[in-house]
Amino acid sequence: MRQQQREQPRQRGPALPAAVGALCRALPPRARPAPDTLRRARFDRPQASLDFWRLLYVLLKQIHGGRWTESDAIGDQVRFVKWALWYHGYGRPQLQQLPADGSAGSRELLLAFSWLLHSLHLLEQLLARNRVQTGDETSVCTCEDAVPSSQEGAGEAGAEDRVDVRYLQWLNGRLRLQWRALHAQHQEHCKLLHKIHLFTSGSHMDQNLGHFSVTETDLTRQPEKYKQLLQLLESETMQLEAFLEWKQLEPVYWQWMETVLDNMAEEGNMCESQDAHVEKRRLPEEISCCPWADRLAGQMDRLSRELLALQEQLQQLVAQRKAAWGQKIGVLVDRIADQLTEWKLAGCQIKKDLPKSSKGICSIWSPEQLSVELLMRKGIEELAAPQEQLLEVHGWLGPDAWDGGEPTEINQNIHQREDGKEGQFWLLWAVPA
Amino acid sequence: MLPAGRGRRDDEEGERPHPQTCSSTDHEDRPSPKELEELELLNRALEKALKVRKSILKTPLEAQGATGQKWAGEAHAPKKAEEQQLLVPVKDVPECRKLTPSPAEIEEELRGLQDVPSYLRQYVEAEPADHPTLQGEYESLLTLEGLQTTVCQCLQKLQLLRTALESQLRLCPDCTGDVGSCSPACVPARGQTCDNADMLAVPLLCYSSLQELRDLFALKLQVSMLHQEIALQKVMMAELLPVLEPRPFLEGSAGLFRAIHTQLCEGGQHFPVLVSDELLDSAGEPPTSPAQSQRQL
Repeated sequence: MRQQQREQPRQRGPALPAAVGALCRALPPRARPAPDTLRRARFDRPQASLDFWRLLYVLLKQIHGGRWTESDAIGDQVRFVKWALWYHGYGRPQLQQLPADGSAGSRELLLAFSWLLHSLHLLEQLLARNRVQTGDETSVCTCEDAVPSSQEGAGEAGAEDRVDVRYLQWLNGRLRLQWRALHAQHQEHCKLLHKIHLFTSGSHMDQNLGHFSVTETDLTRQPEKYKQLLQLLESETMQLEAFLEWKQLEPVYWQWMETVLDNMAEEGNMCESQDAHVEKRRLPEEISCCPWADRLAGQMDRLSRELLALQEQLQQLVAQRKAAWGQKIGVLVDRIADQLTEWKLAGCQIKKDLPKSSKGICSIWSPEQLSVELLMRKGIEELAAPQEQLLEVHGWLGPDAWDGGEPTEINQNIHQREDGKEGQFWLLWAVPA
Repeated sequence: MLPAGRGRRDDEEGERPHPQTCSSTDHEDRPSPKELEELELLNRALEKALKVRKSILKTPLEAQGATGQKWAGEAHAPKKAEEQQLLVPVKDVPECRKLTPSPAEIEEELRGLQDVPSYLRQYVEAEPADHPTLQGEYESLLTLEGLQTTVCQCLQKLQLLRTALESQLRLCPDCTGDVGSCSPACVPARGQTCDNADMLAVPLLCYSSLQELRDLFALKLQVSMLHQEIALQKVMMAELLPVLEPRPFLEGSAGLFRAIHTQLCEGGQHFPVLVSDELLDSAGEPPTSPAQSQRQL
């Protein structure tokens, strides 16, 4: 009660119950807490703990597409919630330390719940998942369904540490048969769906849609079902309205949570020593505490193997290509060197300049002509002025390959070498003395 | 779903009456700027109170590293880093938790990496062994070197993920038994979850003939099948290839090899024919009768 006196005065008074109420109503029907639960949790009342564990359990199960029943044991609930929060990256160790019988920790759970709201966009996700379907729906999602990491198959066949290939073949055949049956059923489904759409076209009130969906058609045959559908739709509408209300009032909720945090921070200072040992709870060798982790580790191993194999392949290929390239270049460098020497001996003046246009460059690259990086190694440095020695020679033309007219210094054909230096394309030609 | 010619459902949303929100005067679906500002301030306060570190997962793959133009734009998969801001309520933990991705993020990153080897292999194979021009050959060499760099970076990233996983597992709670499906279920027909209301609108899919609808379903089924086949192939390779390691002579091993070959290479569809190739002895007749050889196989 002391804390309430320290809190901000009245302005938040009426808004907070509205915010909490809206939040609760925006949650799905089977996972709707009473606003009181949140209020009790704020004061860390143990009575609220069980309810809160259950709330988080149901919500997280929905997010993960899992199934749950009313009678799931509290121990399982606690375990699942702890795991799911860890999975999503919730970092507070105090949560993991809560008792497994769900008897305490409602304030921690409130904090976790708020974290989920914010980080996972919990409400939006749940609203999207739980839509009432009145129309015919299909998905274009091509995500890979997580193959359950069940080890039963391996267990059976590997019981005697042998692989029974015939069993594998038989299973494979069965699988194919199932796929074919599924395909046939899907096609049948399509046919009937199309039939309904065709026969009811023009009947729908909404001109854009034009025809009935399966649900709507079914309603014409069994009108008494409309009550059920109507209830579902009304429930969804209320949820959506509550969601909008929540969006308006959200800041009040976060303000409230801040006070919760202040309290916890104060109290937390006293218990800091407990945290130190939590980090070391698991030894590095116990990596496989979890089927999920096993699966991930397996994927990583496979990926690593593939990448290493690829790396080896590439190493060989690149080494091969580099050697071949080096050889070719060596031959060409010799040719250039010889040609230049010839010109010099004939008394020609060697000129170099930038190419007229980049199009000119492309025409240079014919088999007869050269791509050279290492000309300078052949002792042709006297070609270039001292400050230009860093530039590479990339093109070389005989004197008559130029289009005509004086080459001008346009179009600096700069390219980037792989070591980051910039090189330029040059033309060299000889001017007879 | 409709026969052809119908547009998106967007205007239908407009026909429904806006839900009344009691407290605000302007009917906007989004909160007002003032509220956004308030929310922003509160978030910051929340962070301070929780001693939160916003950690941004930067990958080492940001720099491309290669000048090969062909693949530069296409090898986006390894660079698709989830630069997600983590609002992790963390106490003053000396351990460097702030920069560790959450298990969900590790899984997501790993999923992004899964297809990279096959893409890279495609690029490698797409490089022709011979080039008509020297320039082409040079560029090809650069491309290959670039691919090498990418592979290296992927391996580095994988190592990072492994370390991250290990450090996360140190804090892993007991999850003996069933935790259900572990990665969050994909919301059907909506793709990525996002935090704006657009996600709640369902797009309209139009088809113009029965055949189109059938094709849609058939193709979806095929995609699922292929996913499954890939997963099965990987598992089978892991299980069966060790069997083929050289070891002392087995009875009936020909049959085993044939079966393994069929499973791994022919998808279980085609069986190669095995022919016993035995030398005739000096008497000029085969050592065993054909029926017997068949049985052996």
